[in-house]
Amino acid sequence: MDVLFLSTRDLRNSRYVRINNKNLLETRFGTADTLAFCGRLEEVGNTRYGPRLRINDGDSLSVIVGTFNENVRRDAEAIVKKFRESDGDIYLLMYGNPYETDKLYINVNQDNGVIVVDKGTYDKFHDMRKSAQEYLRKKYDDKLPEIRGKEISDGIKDRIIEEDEFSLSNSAIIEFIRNNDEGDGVPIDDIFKFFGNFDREVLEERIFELMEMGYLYEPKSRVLKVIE
Amino acid sequence: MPIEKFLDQATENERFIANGFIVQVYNMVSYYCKRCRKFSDRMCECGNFPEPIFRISGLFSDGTRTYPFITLNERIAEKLSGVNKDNAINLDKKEIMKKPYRIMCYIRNKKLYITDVLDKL
Repeated sequence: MDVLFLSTRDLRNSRYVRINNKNLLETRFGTADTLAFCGRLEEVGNTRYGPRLRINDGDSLSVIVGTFNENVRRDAEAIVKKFRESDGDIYLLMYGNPYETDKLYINVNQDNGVIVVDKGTYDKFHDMRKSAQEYLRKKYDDKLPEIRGKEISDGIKDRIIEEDEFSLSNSAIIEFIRNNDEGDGVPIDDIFKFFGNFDREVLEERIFELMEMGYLYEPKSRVLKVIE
Repeated sequence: MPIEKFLDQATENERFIANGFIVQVYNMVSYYCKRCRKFSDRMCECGNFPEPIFRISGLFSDGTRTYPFITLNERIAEKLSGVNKDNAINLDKKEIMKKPYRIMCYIRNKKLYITDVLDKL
């Protein structure tokens, strides 16, 4: 296991890679299978894949916790409860793994992958992250000049366009609803019609997944809106 | 006096000071059977119940590199965890993982040996 200390903003210039059955994230600071984030908890939710925790470290990051690990799922459920009952700030230290469908996701599936910390630890984590990143950036600038932010971003863009031609992406569904919503939402049948080339079951599953993840809601039966 | 380094900068057997987090805890209590002269489970294959040894192992990272680590003796495990040996068995792994550490250490065979815990960061 290799760990990189990151801020949410660092994900913009990173890309997902899969090598030897491993889900990895390639960043300006190196490549790792485990990513550490630390932020203030600002929203919680439940999905069928596990609790969703949204932290903020300057930017927001949502993670699904415990899809494949009951132990960390229990920890996350306790955090959800604590968040709903508490008025004070809660800070979390999280160890997640990258994976990608149509966009990059961070999933937490290791024991003790979510830990409640105090504000002092939050500050120290980010001090440590910055100094480690400065060191690694210098190291990679010297040794691997090709791994640079802009090039990585372009790489991601190209790949997404390429993938969209062959597969149904979540963002395409969201964009369609957003563009066709005149205020009352978009009937689900319009979505089925527009994406008629795709398997109906797959499409229904995607829509359900987007609702579970908090991207869409159903203001009335069989009508969908994007949660902005 | 050892100098402060990133884990990625350190060379084998060099003593240095590192700052980082324990990102995973594998084990906190080990058992060594003096009769069989080997590490065992809580009950050794020979039927003996060896004395528990407070020894913390896991993964330590400073963001530049991640190493498997082990505390060198029980005093260091006590210092790292803030609990004494008698309470080690009830120690929650998350308690150890929720704060950063400043440690004295060395690397041998790609493993980090913690020889002292300095003031917490």
